Amino acid sequence: MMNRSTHDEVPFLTNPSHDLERIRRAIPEELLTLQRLLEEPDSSECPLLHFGKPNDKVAVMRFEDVGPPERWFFIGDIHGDFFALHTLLQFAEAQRPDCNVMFLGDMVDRGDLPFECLFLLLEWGRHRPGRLAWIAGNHDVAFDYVSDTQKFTSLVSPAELLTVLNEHHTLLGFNRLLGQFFLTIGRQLPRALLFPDGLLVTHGGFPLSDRQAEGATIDTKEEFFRWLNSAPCLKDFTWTRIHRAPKKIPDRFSTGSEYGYKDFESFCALKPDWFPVKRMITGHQHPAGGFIVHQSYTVNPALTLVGFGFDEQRSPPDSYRGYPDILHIAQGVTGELPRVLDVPVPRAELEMMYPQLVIDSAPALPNASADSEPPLP
Amino acid sequence: MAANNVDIVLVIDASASMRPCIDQLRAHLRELIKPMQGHVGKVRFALVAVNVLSHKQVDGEVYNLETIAGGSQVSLQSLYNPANQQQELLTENADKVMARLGTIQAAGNEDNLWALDIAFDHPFGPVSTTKRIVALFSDEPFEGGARVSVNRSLIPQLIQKIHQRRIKLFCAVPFSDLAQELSQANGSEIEAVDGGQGLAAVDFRALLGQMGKSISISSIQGGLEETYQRALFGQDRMALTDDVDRNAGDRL
Repeated sequence: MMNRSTHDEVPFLTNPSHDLERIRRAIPEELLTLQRLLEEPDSSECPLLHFGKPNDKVAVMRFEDVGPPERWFFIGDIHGDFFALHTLLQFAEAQRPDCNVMFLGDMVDRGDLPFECLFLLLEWGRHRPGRLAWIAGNHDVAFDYVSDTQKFTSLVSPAELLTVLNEHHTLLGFNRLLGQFFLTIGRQLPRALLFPDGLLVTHGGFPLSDRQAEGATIDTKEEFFRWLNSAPCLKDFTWTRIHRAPKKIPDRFSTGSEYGYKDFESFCALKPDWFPVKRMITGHQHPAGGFIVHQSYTVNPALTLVGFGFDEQRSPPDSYRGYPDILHIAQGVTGELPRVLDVPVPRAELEMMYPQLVIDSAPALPNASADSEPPLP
Repeated sequence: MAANNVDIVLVIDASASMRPCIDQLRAHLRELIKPMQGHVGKVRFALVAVNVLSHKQVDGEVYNLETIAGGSQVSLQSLYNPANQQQELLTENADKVMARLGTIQAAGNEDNLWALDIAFDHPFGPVSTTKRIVALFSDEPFEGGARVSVNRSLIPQLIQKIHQRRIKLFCAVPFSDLAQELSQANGSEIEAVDGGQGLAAVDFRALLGQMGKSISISSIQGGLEETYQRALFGQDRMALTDDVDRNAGDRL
């Protein structure tokens, strides 16, 4: 069993191209190991952290479990961008060798290397037990397998992973195993975690106003957490979308209904003694600058962070043309929104990984103040 | 996997001041499509241009509607009476849309809520494969429209229809209380613009480009087609202007 706190016995991340090949070679064996480890989520060897009771998907974390927020680094949507995930993990460890990492969800679809990303992240966590948490993204929980047709399905569209899983006939058997492994992980992931200082970590949002009306009537803490962990609330945590407007009317014909800043304020005020939310970090949206500090969220601030760097307007590998010079990661700050850090892109390594591309130089992405979204009048 | 299709209904306040906006839309319509190329499948356009004219012959206001299909009667027949001969309301031919924009006569007053409901009732492609977009352009706030005191009470039903039909709504309009109320619909974006003068201060090239990008990266969540109430304003029964002088409103 690995020592939980030592840094130097783990496979160091070196060069993304080398690590990509290493990860690919290791996937068949790593799959078996991880399947075993994930069956015991409370084991000290489990690569993913769990909080609360065994089946809790929404939980308040205790300081003794998570330590100071400054130790935590947050990574936004990855969507199969192995290069970005590798760069961000390397950066976090360079900043703090004892760093904890929290991935905000959406591992797959859109990008070119979804399973390589999956195994990179889980390998990182497996060799650093107790230091990796992963909040479910909607793309992580949208998949299902229909045994009658022997096909995978998805609630999202486009869902590029379906093509990989269903149409690569030469690897169908192994791909089915990979797909089912991904399904298993998706069902285990927490949907939202609350830091002791009031930072809510969630992929999409929180239970919207119509659900909040139900939550407001609850009298006991135990029942309130049962409500937070109910299927309708879990769906809202993962699928809803932040918007700059004051309020949005929940759209129950859609899984991805939007909310406004007043909806967030009312959620923060719902049961402050039991679930004391003060601010929020989300993934899900893909702001052009890599992140947004939402300016209209003044009472209860909110930050949205993106991990991947490719151009989602194009298909891989063409989408890696014009890759930005800077990616973003966020580091926890006690009592405040996490601080967004610029992560320089090692361009030579990117070109080594995608040699078929002539990598264009892209202008540096704007900083927080330049990219902040204006509030509605 | 088949790419998703996009159906876009352009809703244009065709009141007297809007000629500059109509010309700008015509000049830059292709900016809307550019970001989607290679990223979505078929893109179809529809047009809803509305103005309201005062007229002595009908003792009151007369609504004038222009679509790809033609003038008011043909358009409403195509929308609300499928048993009659149906003309095409959505087209992949952007040139046809631009040509039609060139024929619109800006006159009279606006009724943007009425126009939006016409757009929401369009025969969009299947909800499971089609991004349904409605984009409104007006230089007047919703409060300035004809019959607004009556129509504003229907905003909750308009929002319900937006949700039921999975429509993404863009409005380039002056900001107002009614705009804010409408912005509570899921998927709606209000781009607050300076009022008057046919949106002359708006950079249409940038606005349409941004809108196109937003459409191209949006997802479809699938699901079944919901039932919804058509013609919330009773527009399928309203008096229309094909049989009256288009310029009558200006003379009265």
